[in-house]
Order: sequence, then structure tokens, then C-alpha cells
Amino acid sequence: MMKISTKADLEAVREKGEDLLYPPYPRIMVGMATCCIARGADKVMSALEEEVKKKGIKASVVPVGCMGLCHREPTVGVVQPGKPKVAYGPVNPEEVPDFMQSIISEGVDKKRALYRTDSEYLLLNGESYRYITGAVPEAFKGIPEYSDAPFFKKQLRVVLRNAGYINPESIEEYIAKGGYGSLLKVFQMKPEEVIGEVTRAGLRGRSGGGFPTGAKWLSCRKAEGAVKYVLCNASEGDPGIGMHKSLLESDPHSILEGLIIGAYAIGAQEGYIYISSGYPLGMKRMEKAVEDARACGLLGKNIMNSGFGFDVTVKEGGGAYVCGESTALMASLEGRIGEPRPKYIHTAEKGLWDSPTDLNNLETWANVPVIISKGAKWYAQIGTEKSKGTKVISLSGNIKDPSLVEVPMGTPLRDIIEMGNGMVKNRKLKAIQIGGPAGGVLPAESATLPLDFDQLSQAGSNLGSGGLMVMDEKTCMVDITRYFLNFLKEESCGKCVPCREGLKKLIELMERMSMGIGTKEDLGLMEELSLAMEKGSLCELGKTAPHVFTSTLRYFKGEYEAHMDGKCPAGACKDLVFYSIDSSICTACGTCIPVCPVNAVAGEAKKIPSIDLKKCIKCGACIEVCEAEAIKA
Amino acid sequence: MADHLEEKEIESAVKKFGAKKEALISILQEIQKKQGFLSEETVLCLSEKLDIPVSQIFGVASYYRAFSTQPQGRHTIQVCDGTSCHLKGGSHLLTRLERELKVAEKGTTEDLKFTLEKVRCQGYCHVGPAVKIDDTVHGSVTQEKVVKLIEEQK
Repeated sequence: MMKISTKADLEAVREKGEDLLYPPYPRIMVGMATCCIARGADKVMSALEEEVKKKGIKASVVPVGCMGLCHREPTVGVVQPGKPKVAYGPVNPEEVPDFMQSIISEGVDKKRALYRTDSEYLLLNGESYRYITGAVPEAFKGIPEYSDAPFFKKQLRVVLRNAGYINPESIEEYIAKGGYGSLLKVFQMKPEEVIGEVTRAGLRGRSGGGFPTGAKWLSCRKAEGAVKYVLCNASEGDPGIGMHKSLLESDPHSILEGLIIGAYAIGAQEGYIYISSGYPLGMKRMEKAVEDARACGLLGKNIMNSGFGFDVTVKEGGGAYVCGESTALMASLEGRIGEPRPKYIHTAEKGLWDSPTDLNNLETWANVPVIISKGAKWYAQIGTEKSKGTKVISLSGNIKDPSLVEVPMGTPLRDIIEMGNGMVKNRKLKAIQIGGPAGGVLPAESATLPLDFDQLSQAGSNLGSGGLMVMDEKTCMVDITRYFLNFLKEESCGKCVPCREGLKKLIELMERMSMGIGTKEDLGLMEELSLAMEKGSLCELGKTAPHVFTSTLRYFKGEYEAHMDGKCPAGACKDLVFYSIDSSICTACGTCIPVCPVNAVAGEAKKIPSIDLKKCIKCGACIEVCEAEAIKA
Repeated sequence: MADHLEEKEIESAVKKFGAKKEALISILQEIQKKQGFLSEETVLCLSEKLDIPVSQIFGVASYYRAFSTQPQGRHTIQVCDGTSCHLKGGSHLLTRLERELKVAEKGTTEDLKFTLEKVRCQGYCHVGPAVKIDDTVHGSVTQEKVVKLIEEQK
């Protein structure tokens, strides 16, 4: 690999990358992040390779990251010289020959086409790349233009600028999109100027706390120490957050470039990227990125002839949720049990191996090259007064089209939910949960709230790392609270009493609630416990653990009262429900009969079945298959 | 003491990451991948090689989810119970599998064929509920489908 020391070197690699991105023959791109692979993208990729070989066509078949169209996977993008780029999906492995035939004979497969791109805006360069020469060819006219599509219209892809476009394992393609230009630029700046730029941009930590990044960097720069570290936290195991994985798998260099810039600004010589266990593909792609950057001289001694030296180690975590907390993460890096320590010793002064350490989340790092390239002023005009830039949101739950999206801060939650194309089985939206277990549950009316650190926290939730979970009327608030508390109990490290014992007691009381034997006194006790945990816990895990309980009590008190009366309105708490079939809705299709594992559902052909309550174990298998939603709990 | 083959694997893991205290987690990960679990003998052997007390290594091995101190089945079934999968019935899938395999969560079947685990979000939220069998992720799993998937492995 070529060493990159000057602007001319970077240009040369860029040209090479452009040849890969826009070759004189078709380029076929397969979305190959883990979630895509779960839907068969790897099989599609090999089928495409085979088909290209068989037909003797000159074309490149390359893996790319996640486009965000998770509900249309496996997705395939096709770029042909002079023609619009088209995204297709789903393209299943067995459909590949048919798909390729259409592309060859008509240039386009209308059946599977989703969007077309005539011209693409290159964020970092501020230029556009025009795919088409002349007018849009007739065959492509019926396909909606990418920027007109409702799914993309309200999005602004800053962090995900390359996701789904470039091969994440190609440094050349990253550079062709303007990558590592910001790194070259910072070496013309003083470290303090870099920090000033990040501060003026108003960037705040994307892991949940929302701490100003510039201020964090500055305190670490000022701290005394011969050795300093910069760390990247890619270990947030918030349940319901597919996006960290997606970013790692789609564009590892964007994170790495940010980290190197941060190291220069802070004066760090060593860095670690701490990746959650269970992210093997993200791990592999990040390791490749580090290796390639090192081979190009973008890591190591005297980077780009600047005199600045820095190197990175990629570390796999042990799989503990609490290791998303800064001091626990550092303990884990040192090879110890990942337990947090009190916060009065600042990690900016005494962090990893007692040296000054700066830790930022991967999304925060991926923002940095953009701020340097486009300038603080450009960045700060996106978002709200105190929450700047964009936020990647993983939209999932009971929604039709779960997706990965990126929107400007300040976007109303409703607009994001609308990108999901409505609720599963057209049920009603009941609640929104944002921010993972540390966040709160908000009622459907809160959908008008903007995506903003401070406004969400005032409403009793938390932006967290950006998981937006949509819940329908079949979600029981008591059950979901119990679920989150159980998650946190399992993940609590057990070091401090308020968190360890508090969670245990809260769950005991919640269990009484879901059995229908909870009392008003129990609720009072739980509120008291919550306060003690918020005030007394050592780290954020314990401090924020009661959020789900306090928010559900605040917004859904009626549901707690119903449980105290022995009823579960959503039909989720097993001790309080009985399954029955509503004969006025049932279509007598008989699907529910064979799926019952205990033969509790019985009936003859074309007649409404009945459920034997003595046998029924309330496992939900029949409800799952009932299209008419005739089975009530 | 660990047998000859095990000791060789332990040695190569120590060599790969260095006999340093901070390399403990990486070394354990390597051995876990090779041997499927961390045996008592492995821990004793490592304690000597790295000069770390046995109690501390057991502490680390039992703290992190990535490690197990019991032999694992030939197939590992991971049922996701992250929030998104939970909302779509992930916990029902787990209960169903416990019934089908006659084994509790974190347990291994008597014939050492399957180990059943509950996992918390591996990032498959968009294809949930998800079940991972060995290295293959299955999305949009129903109870009916999960029973079939197990049959296929048998």
C-alpha cells in the first residue's frame, strides 16, 4: 500500500478509489452488514459473483455497509456508466439470475427497484458526482428519486455519509469520498485550534450523557502526564441498538480518522478501540481499517510528515453492559473486572493506567472529520440551540419497517417514527422508549417532542445512544418495566449497594405488580427506592436504572392501578390473562391449531376453534400466527 | 494440570498477546474460542504463566458474558431478548426452546448437543426476533420456525 504523506499522495489514492467507485463497467454493491447477512446477503453476494462469471460480464461485485433500508434487505445497488445508480430490494439469492437478466437486457430491474440516484452529493468535498450523462433514460423514469423518497427526505446523513456506498474494507474508496482530508488539514492547525473548532461546533457526546466534546478534550490536553490515551467506546450494549454495529461495519475509517484527529488535538500517543464482544464483523472490519491506515502511514510514527506519532489497538470486550461506562471500560482494558469507580477522580487526569485519558463514543468520533472539513459554523447550523449536528437513530420495535436513519437534532420524534411506515398489524402507537434502559418510556403524545438532549431529559427520558423503540397497544407497561429492570439487574456489576440491592427489591415489587397482588404501599416504596438509587449509586447504570419505572408511573399510572385490581389491559402478564378466541373476528382458518405445543387449541376444518384453558400455557404461539388478531389475552 | 494439547493452546494464546496482566481478557477469549470453555486446569495453568492469582482469573472469567466455565454443547443457540426482539416475542421463543430441549437457559442438554443462551441485543434489532445458532443468524423467527431450526440440527 502506498504511503500517504502529502496532498498529492492523497490525491493519487483518491483517484484510485474513484476508479473503484465509478468504474467504466457496472459496479454491483451488496449491503453486507450483519443485519443484512441475517437476511441472506452473503448468499446473494456469492450468487451475484457466480452469475457475473457465468454470463461472462465485466462487472465488479463489492460488499458495502448498511443503507438503512433494513426492512428491504437483502439490498443491492447497481452503478452503470452514464446511468442513474439504483437501489434494489429485497433481492433474494434465488432471484439473482432473473435480476441479472433484467439488468443486462433492460439496464434496470423495475420489479425490485426502490430508488434511483441521478446525482450524489459528496458531503466532505461539497461537490456532487453526477451518475447520469444527459437526461434520465426512459427505462429509469418510473423509479422514485432518492432525495424525493419520504424515507430519505427528512434525513441528513453526516455520520452515515458513506454507509451503503463504499466498501468498508477499502481505504481507497473511503479516501475517494474525501476521507483523511481532514487529518491532513489538522496538521496545518495547532492542537488548540482543533479543540476550538470542535467546541464551536457544539458537538456533544453521542453515548447518552451529552457532555460537550470540546471541553472534554481540553481538560485532557491540559492534564499533566507523559503518556496520554484516547479511547473509542464501541461497546454500548443497549438492547435495541443495532446502529453501533452498523457504523463499525459500514464505515470504520470515519471513526478511526476522528480518533487520530482527537489524539493530535489532545496530545495522545496511544489509542484503543474497545469493541463489544459479539460484534465479530465489526471487529474484523475495524482491524482491517487500522492495518490499512498503518500501511499507508496514517498511523505510526511521523504521520503525514507532521512529526506527530500515534497508534491504535483494537480490543474485544468481554461482553458486559456496564463496560460502556468510562471507568469500567478502562478497568476492562487493563484486564480487570469491569467495575466503575467513583467519579471525583477525573479520567481526563487519571484514566487508563492512571494516565490522562479521553473516551468518546464511536458516533462522536465519526462526526469529527466532518466538523474539521466543513467547519464549526456549518456544523453548528444543524440542530437546536444546545444540541448540534445530527443523530443516528435505530428505529425498531413494533413497527412495520425497522430502519437505521440519521436526522438533524431537533427533528420531532413523530417524523422519525413515520419513516417506519406505520405499526405492525396496524395497531395503535402506545408508547415510545428512547435511550435504552437508562431512558424512560414516553406516551404516544410525546411524539411531538424534538430530538434534543435537554428536552428529552426534561420529559423524563434520555437521548441515550439513540435507540428509538416503538411500542404498540399490546405492550404492557408493567411487563416492559420489569423487563428493563431485569436486564439491569443482570448487568449490574454489584459493586455498590444502592444499585445491586435496589434493583433486586424493585424487581420483587414489580413481580408482585404483574401477579396482581401489588399495593399502593408497594408503589410508594418503589418511588422511595428509586430516589435512593438515583442519589446513591456509583455510576450511571444505577443512577438511571429507575427511569423506566418512574416514567411509566408518571405517564401510565392507570395501568399500574389496573394491575392492582388484577387486570392486565395489554394482555401480557401471564398470571392475569386467559386466552380466548373472538368468534366475531375469527376467520376459522385453522392456522392456530397445529402451532399449539400442548394441543390446547382444538377444532375442525372451517369451524371456529376453542382453547382448552386447563391445557393452555399462554406461550403466545397461537397469537403470533393469527393474522385476524382474533385471539385475545 | 492441563493436558498436553490444552497447554499448547494456552501457550500459543499467551504468546500471541504477551504474558502481561492487561492481556488477560484477550488470552481468555482466545482460549474460550479454541476450547469452548475455560476449565479449572486452564485457569490454574494461566495463573502460573501470567503470575495472576487464581481467584482473580476466576473473577474475570465469571464476570464477563463471553466466558463460560462449563463445557458447552456442540451447538450454541442464542436467543435474543434485547428490547426489540422482546417486544416481538423473543422471550416466548426462549420459553419454547427450554420446553423443547428440556433444558434451562444457560444450560446444556444431557447429550452435549445444545447449549441454550439468552443474549441481550447483538444488533439484529431490525430482523427481530432473532435466534443465532452457532454462527448463523436467523431473523423474524416464529415459534414454529424455531422448532424446525432445532430439528434441522438434530
